[in-house]
Amino acid sequence: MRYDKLLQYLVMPLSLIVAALIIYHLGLFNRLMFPNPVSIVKQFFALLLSSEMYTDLALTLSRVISGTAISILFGIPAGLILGYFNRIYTMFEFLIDFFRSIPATALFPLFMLFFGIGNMSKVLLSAWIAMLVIMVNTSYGVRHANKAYLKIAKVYNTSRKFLFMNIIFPGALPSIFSGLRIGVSLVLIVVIVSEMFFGSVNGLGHAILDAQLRYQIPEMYALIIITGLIGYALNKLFLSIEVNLIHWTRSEH
Amino acid sequence: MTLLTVSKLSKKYPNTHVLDNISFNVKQGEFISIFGPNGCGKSTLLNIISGLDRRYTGSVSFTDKGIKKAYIFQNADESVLPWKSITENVRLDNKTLKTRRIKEVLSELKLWKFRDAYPYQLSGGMKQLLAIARAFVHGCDVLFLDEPFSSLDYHMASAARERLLNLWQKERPTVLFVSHDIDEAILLSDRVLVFSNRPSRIKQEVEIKLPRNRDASILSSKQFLEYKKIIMDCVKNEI
Repeated sequence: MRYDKLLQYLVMPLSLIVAALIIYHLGLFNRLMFPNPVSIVKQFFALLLSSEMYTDLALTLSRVISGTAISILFGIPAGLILGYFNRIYTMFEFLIDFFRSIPATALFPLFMLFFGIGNMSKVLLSAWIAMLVIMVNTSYGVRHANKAYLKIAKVYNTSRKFLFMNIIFPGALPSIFSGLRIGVSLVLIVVIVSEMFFGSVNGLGHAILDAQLRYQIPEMYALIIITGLIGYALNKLFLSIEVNLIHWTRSEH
Repeated sequence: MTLLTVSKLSKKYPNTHVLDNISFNVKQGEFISIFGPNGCGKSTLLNIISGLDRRYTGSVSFTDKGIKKAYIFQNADESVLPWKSITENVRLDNKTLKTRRIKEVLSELKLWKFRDAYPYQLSGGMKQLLAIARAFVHGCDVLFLDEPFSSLDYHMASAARERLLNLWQKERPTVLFVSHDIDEAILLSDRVLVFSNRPSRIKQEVEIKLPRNRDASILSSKQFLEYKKIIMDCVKNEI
């Protein structure tokens, strides 16, 4: 990376840190709420050396990975079917829109009732929310397949299988991937919130809430930063898979 | 042998009369260009003949019901599948096509060396030639080409045109070629149908008796320029 490009990348994060230092030293906020940024950084590195943090991190990550995997496993096939068969789409349209309109948090009690307060309810709720998004994006990609490409299949009388696997599916991939990226962010949100919920004893969400309850505010900030970095990394991961897989749109980026 | 007969074909939209009483026929192995101004209904005519548009009066009939047709449209990016390599784009799912045949056609169009590349690595002209190669390899009897080279710059268009000409002269399928470029129409065709402005009629049918096989050097020959003059005179009062 060129020097000035690197500078462009770093200028805003660095100013944020400087601004935080200034705000702290001017005492503009209550220092309990807004602790010394230096202590947050110290706490951040301390956490990186603490095995407890890694236990929480591993638990949160395993929930996020399970939730994402389940949502993909059901969301993509369901979306493909909905997109391909117009009649099925019409039948389910209202239900899907309705379920999508229910905020994830409103479903916590329901999922706890069915699946208890352990891992299962957290994973399944996050998977459910992400699945709806992945499904809708996938079906959109299929329904809006390029007419010209469909015409190629018609003119050369290709098999249904070829039409679906080699024309419709690859054409829907960009839309599927935007669903995946939104989906994985939603999974992380739901998992973290559910870890703060009554009865949770571990995970990053629990650790954040716990730090706040213990008035370990720098620790709380440091954990929030770690959670943010995970979200960022997950998004980058999906983006890099997307760019490598959908190589034919690369020149348009 | 006549392959296609168009008779008394008219097409009207609610407020515009596009095609007016068009009649002509196409012999097997003939290269016909439809030459006319933009918006005169050339593409509409092609859509009707190829069966994509069924709302018209008059008749369009092929002598043989089983003929294989292929269409290549203006937009090069829509002619090929971007996620398939060049050879995959030609073959599609037809496993009976011989690789030797694919190689033969792609080589003639100078695309063989790009066989494992993807369409986004090709120029616009090469993408159109790729779509044309597909039609040849699949043994299509009639090719409908709707201004396939009109969006290319002069050099690319000339190169693509010449490669198409070479391949066509070897294999001689029937081609209906829509064009708004006089040189292109004369160079490629056995016959040029000159269309008027809307409502379009066939103003003149010009048989191009230039010797085959042709190449681009013919563009400056005396005969060529005479044909060009005939067509220019014919469209003069349209402008």
